[in-house]
Amino acid sequence: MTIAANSVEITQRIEWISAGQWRDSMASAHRQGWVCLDVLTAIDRPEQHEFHVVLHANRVDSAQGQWWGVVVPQHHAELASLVDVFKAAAWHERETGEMFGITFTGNVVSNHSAAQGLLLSADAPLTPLRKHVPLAARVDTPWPGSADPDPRRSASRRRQAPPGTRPEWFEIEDRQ
Amino acid sequence: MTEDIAIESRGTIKLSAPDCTSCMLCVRECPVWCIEIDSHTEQVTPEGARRPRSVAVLDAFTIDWGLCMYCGICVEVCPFDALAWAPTPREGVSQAEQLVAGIEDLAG
Repeated sequence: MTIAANSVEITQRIEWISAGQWRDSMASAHRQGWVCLDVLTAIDRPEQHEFHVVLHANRVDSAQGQWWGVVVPQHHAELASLVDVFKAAAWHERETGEMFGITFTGNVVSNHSAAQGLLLSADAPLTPLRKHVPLAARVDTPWPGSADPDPRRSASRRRQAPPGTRPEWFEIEDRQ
Repeated sequence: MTEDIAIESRGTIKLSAPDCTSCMLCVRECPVWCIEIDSHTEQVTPEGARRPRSVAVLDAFTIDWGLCMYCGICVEVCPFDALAWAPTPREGVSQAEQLVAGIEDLAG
């Protein structure tokens, strides 16, 4: 992962772990001094039919941080919970469960139905951080870029999708 | 206060309307949809030319500073340097509608 911050480039490696080794590997990292869980979240990768669950932990004996990652298939979106390794994982796993629909086995409240009401209201869309879930404002707002001053150009130009949208969001609307 | 601001500071974005060809690149690349352009084409016949040609005339160009996140993609994509960073930040306003800046407002 490369993060550009004020022209200083900070390059941090993600250490990838297989799903079956996730809990044991993180317990081992914890024993080696990576005790402060900074963040745990997921990235939806619909084209690959998988999630990346990523975790960042810090040391307290030095100013060091490290990323770990694990690939979780979408057809079996389950991962061992880290609540017995990092207590702070309880919140992050509940949030990730609610936003992505990933079940963290061992974290009793992380699965989606139980986590309802943690952050989302009852009428919010399910798993709103999945990329197939439309951003309502992006679908409802007319895109300023659809206007074209030159009618000849708009006739010949390939229709461009508005930035920050996915084609399936508009298919859903067309069906209604 | 102004003299303390470095010339390369990204305070605000200004528009040079005569350089704008209404190509719409900035509007379409803006990730937050904060730029709107209204324009039309006119037929003009330059002196000595045999045939008239179409020229885009800019009617309105607005940036909604309430949406803009100052990413500068519009400045980067503008092929004619009609958009540019200017060092002095915009002053605050008291009404949300005043955050929508037009051609004169963006002239800098």
